[in-house]
Amino acid sequence: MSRRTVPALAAALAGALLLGGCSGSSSDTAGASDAGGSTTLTVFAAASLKSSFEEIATDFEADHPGVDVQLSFAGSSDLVTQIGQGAPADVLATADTATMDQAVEQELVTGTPQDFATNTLTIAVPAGNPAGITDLASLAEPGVQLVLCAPQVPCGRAAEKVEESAGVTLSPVSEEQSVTDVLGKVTSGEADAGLVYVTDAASAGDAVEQIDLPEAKAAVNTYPLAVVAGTSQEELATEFTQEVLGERGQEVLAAQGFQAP
Amino acid sequence: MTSTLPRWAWPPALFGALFVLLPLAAVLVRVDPSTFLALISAPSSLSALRLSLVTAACSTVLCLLLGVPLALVLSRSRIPGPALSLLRALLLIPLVLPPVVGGLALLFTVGRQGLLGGPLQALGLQVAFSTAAVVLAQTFVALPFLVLTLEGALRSTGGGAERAAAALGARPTRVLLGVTLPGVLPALASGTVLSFARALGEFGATITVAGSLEGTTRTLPLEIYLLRETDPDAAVALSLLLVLVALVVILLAHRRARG
Amino acid sequence: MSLHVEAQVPERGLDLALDLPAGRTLALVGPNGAGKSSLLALLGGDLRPARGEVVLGGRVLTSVRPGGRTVQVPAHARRVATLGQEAHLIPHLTALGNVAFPLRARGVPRRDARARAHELLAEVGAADLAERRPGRLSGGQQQRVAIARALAADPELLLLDEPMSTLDVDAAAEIRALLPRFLEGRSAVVVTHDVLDAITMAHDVLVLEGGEVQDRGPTADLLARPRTAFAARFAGLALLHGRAGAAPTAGGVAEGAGAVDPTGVPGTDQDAALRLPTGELIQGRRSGDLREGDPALAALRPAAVTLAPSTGDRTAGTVLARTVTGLEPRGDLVRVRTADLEADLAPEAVAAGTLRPGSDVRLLVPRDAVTIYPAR
Repeated sequence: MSRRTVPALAAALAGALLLGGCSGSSSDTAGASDAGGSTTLTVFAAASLKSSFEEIATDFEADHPGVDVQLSFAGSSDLVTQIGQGAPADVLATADTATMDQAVEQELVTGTPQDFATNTLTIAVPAGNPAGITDLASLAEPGVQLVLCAPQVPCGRAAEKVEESAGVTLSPVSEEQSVTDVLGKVTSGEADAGLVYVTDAASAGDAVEQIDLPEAKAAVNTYPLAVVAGTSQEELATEFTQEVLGERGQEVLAAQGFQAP
Repeated sequence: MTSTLPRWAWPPALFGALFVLLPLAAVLVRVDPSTFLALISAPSSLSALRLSLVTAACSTVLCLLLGVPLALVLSRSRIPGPALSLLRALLLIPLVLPPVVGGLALLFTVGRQGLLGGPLQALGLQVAFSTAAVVLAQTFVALPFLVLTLEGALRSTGGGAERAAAALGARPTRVLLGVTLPGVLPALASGTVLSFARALGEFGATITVAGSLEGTTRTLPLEIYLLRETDPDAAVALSLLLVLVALVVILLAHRRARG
Repeated sequence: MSLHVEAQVPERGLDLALDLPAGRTLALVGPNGAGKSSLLALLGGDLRPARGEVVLGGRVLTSVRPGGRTVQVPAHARRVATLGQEAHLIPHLTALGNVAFPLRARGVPRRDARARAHELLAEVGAADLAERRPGRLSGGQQQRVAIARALAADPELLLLDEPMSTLDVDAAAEIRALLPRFLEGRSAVVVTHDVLDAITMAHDVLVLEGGEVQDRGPTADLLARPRTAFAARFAGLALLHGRAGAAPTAGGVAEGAGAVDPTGVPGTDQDAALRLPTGELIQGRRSGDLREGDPALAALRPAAVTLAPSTGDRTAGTVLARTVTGLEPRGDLVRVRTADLEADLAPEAVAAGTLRPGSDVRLLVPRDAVTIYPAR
């Protein structure tokens, strides 16, 4: 080895070490059991499931000593894309059947996905309801700053269905990327109203008020989950889906505003 | 001509270049040439492209109007050193701020409930969800690029020629337009291009403060992010379009600055 | 335009007053840190005094006084142009554009400005450089263009801040030859370290030291009769302090102790003597009124000093016994330093090896080489 190549190699090595060091924590989520003898189960779940799944995972861990449940929350289509690119997941739970269908189509999951919860839209308005929203029709009145999800994302598709079935045409000032973005615009008071899921409105607490939306029955959003294809923990993953579908899991979901499928 | 560049700088430099170019190449590879034109000429894509170009141009003009005087004050005023350093540091904060936070900050400023919300509403101005909000968000994140580039150039040119011009009877405005700015023209050009590029790629602050509505606030990056939900191929095609637009602008500006 | 300056700038230790009649050139000399740059900055408007005023041709450019309204005319309206060490041409303009710049700034139409700029460039011998940008001009060429540009501004006061100091010898000589013509009839202040500049350009010399005016006078007078160590060094003279002695009645070689040469050549009414603090009496030519016992100075050219011959020389002068403190080359001569006197001797005189620091030496100071004048 010539003396000149040493610094170059050293630099490359340092770079590799840096990258390795920075990404070190991710190896724990790889699904395989680690040196301590415990087992890790990785669950990819839609962002709206955060509170409920955290609670369910805690219960599950209590019943399964030595099992560590790693939760990863993101938009449903993000989760499918990530698994498609080889992200190490054992269970997938999406916020609508359309995205789960994509996962099935790409053979990313095994078996038939099972529906474990439903969610419906509601009208969220800022505390005090400054624009005086009363029902779906009042959302279409001029001057109302209405924010919806874009039709490309599940909550937007649901909103479209509600519009169609009720024969109302809404003109939002913004079509947001996710239900969180819609909720953010409402809580900050920028928007007079937004269509969000009941669970999201519940999680926002006092910052928003809910206006009943009977028309939402036209667009019941169903949450399916499935075991990821090629997992090394198929048995444990199946047990986790049973936990979600079981009595205790359903109770947790109901407490967050979800309805049974 | 002999170079003083140490040889060991080559491998990391090549790695660095690959690090940037490989992902771009990956995008290129993913694009299907047969459907590319159809994908980018969809009405929603064209609308997003048009909106992006218009808003980025407006933001760049705004950056110039606000940034050039700012850079001049930072580099030429008699504000005492520590105060100046603090001011400079504060003005560059948008560089380190996550754009989403920038968007929130803007919302807290010009939103209905924001600092200036009351006065703005009294004037009948609604900023949130408007194209103006897009321009505001882009300007907020792009301004530091212009200020930083220009101020560096202004500080390194010292000002001897400017003082000489003043002593020869040129008023401050003439000195600025006739001596100072022509002297930093290359930096002004690259600062302008940088801020335009940053405005063009702006996403987080825009979606936070302006929302996303086709033709009004949904710029190309927002359209790409949304398309990714349903049509990843179209998203990739639009990404390539964004890269091409940025490339053309940068090359044009570079040529003009040289020529 | 006549110039009147009175200024105190405590943070720079500057406290001075000066007047410059219209159309005169003043050479400003002094050691580094004497306040020359501060004075120029005061005139140019870059520095505001704590107290004082600058009046040019009746126009108040600066006025700061307690209870009064503070006036500070900005640089562009002062009509004070500076020619500095750096030409500071505007880089993106051609030589012609640079010269036309002050004319355009005054509102002269483009065509007229260019025509006048061409004339001015021709006057400084830079007509062929008109279309070049500063980056393609040598240092000397840049200064030529800068001169033309300063003249285009038609300033009421011209400040020259060592414009030759960064140029090579030939270029400096060219600029030096050019400047006096342009200073003709203008009020100007020239900062220089070079006695030649003072002689060729300045009517008057002002010696600034420690922020104060130490001496000033017509150039020839000040150079012949310096009153400060700096001015003497600037003029290339050695300066001796003492008191006026009794005018000798006879000339000839005198021993420093005051002995009169036995040849008995009669003295003239221009003869004078200076009694040094050592008690020695040095003979010279009187310049100005001298009363015995008054503080007085003797200035002499070190090159005129020789080693005193042991016998038989008839040159009228004074022999002083000194101890050598240092030797240094000085052109083709050797400067011999003693406690109070310097002599530039031919190398042969030193070559014998008898002269080195510490050795005793007897120096002959010719009477005609010594000017004796009141210390004021």
